[in-house]
Amino acid sequence: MVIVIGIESTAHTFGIGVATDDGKILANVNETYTPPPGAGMHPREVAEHHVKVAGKVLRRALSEAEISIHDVDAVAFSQGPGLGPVLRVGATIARALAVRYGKPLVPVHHGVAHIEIAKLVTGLKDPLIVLISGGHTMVLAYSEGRYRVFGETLDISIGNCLDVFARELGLPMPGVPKVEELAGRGRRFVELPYTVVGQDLSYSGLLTRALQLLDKLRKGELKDLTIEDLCLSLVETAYYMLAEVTERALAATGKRELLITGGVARSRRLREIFQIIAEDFNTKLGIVSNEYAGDNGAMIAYTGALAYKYGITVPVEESVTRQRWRIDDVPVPWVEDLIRRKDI
Amino acid sequence: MESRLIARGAEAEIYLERWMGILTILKRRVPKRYRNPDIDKKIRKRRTITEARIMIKSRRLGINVPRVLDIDLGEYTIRMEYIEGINLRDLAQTFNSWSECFREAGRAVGKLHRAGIIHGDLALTNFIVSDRGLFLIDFGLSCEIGSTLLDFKDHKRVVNVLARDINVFLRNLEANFGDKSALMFRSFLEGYREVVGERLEHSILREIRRIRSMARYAPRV
Repeated sequence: MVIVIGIESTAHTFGIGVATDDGKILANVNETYTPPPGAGMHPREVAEHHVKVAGKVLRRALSEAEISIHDVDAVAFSQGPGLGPVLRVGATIARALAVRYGKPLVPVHHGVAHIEIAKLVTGLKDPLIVLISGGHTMVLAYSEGRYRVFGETLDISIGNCLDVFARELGLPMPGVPKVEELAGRGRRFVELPYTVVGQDLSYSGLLTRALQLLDKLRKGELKDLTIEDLCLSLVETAYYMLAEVTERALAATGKRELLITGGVARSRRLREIFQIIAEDFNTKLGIVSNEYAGDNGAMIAYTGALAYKYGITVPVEESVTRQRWRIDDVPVPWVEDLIRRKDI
Repeated sequence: MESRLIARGAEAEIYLERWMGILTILKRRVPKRYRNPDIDKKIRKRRTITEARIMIKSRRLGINVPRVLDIDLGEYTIRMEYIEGINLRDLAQTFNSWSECFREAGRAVGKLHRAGIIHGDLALTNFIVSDRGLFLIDFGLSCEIGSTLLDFKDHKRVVNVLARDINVFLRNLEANFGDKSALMFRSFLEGYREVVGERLEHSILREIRRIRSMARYAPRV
């Protein structure tokens, strides 16, 4: 058994977790940067926030895990993808710990970590995976050493689409639950761009049209449409598109398990939709728990522990961050054994 | 009437049925319980109409697609002729002499595009090689971009939608054939170029590269 400390620092959340390769989460401490309502995240400001909270988060994580930094076998960090300045904060701290305490450094792909933690908490082994977060919108499945992308967004992610709309409405982050709440009071559905191309989808046209309508609505040019109607139409259209590519992937791959992970997996409406899809396709559904849905340190620690056990480390001088690291470029040699293992 | 469910796709059930003495395919769009029922009916109705209309139009343009025999908007069904053959993926996996088939596939897509029709799901399994030639099937995600292409060859938006259409084909090729896909795509492009001309083909290839570089976390090219 190995114990690994993991540092998450790709976007708004700075987190440190401690975990073992057999799936015990010993600590999960996270601090999230919140921009003022109506404003977005500036990478530099997020990075400054993370620098400020890092020491406190590290101390709390170690005390929660009841271990000393000397007890860990390796230091894992989210090497990418993410915002450059933010990635560098986590990487710098990880390198410092690795050098100071003589621990190996383990690079972790943020998206792979979302998948591994969700498989751990749901017990699914070889699912079709829907990865939905601020950065990713992808449908994937494991095959021959990698998570292969079956379909993905051609431009912005679903989280980004809804967050930007929420921001324009002046709603505070996180935007998705607030937009969904407004949508719940919507009555009229207007048709918005619905873009499914083969197995891929696109959210930029949908966002642009929704923002145009919002603008008109505010100028009083749309009499019979309310903000709530617009939220309803946007959310439902965005989710129907995701539902359709998921169904296409289920039909094509014949997978018997369906895993939903990433921050947007917290959406209540999406949970309803995926439950129906799972029933219709006679598929076992697993949705990541709320605690591990958003970005968190524990997922990096756990994935780092798996990777470290399979010999994946990186020398400090080669540990440069990877802003645009694609998930299907990441070797995941542990997955085969996890699929075969019976005890979890 | 014999009827056999032969495939269940994301949005439709496909039945093989004997109808008026011939073998036919019945495509039925099933309701989605997660959709608002009114929206669901609207979506299914519109897609059924679009699919049938584009199939009929394509056929009139001399493109090999199954003949539409009947449409029932109350049942959201399209009945069409059954094309017996082997799909392009299985064919390329089984035989070595695939190059002419890919060229023919390129010609077929070229003809669609020249007429302003986007197929929307150019997966290898949607090309059927039969003894009557190569057929394109499953127009469930297809749409028209209005008027013919040749009128506005350099129109950015047109090039973009055509490139996205072909990108589906290319990604499907890569997923199925890895390194071998480059040669297959080259044959496909030869046929495509024959129909749409070199200039448009070039702008589309450039646009495919651009689209790919815009995807999240794509390597910069």
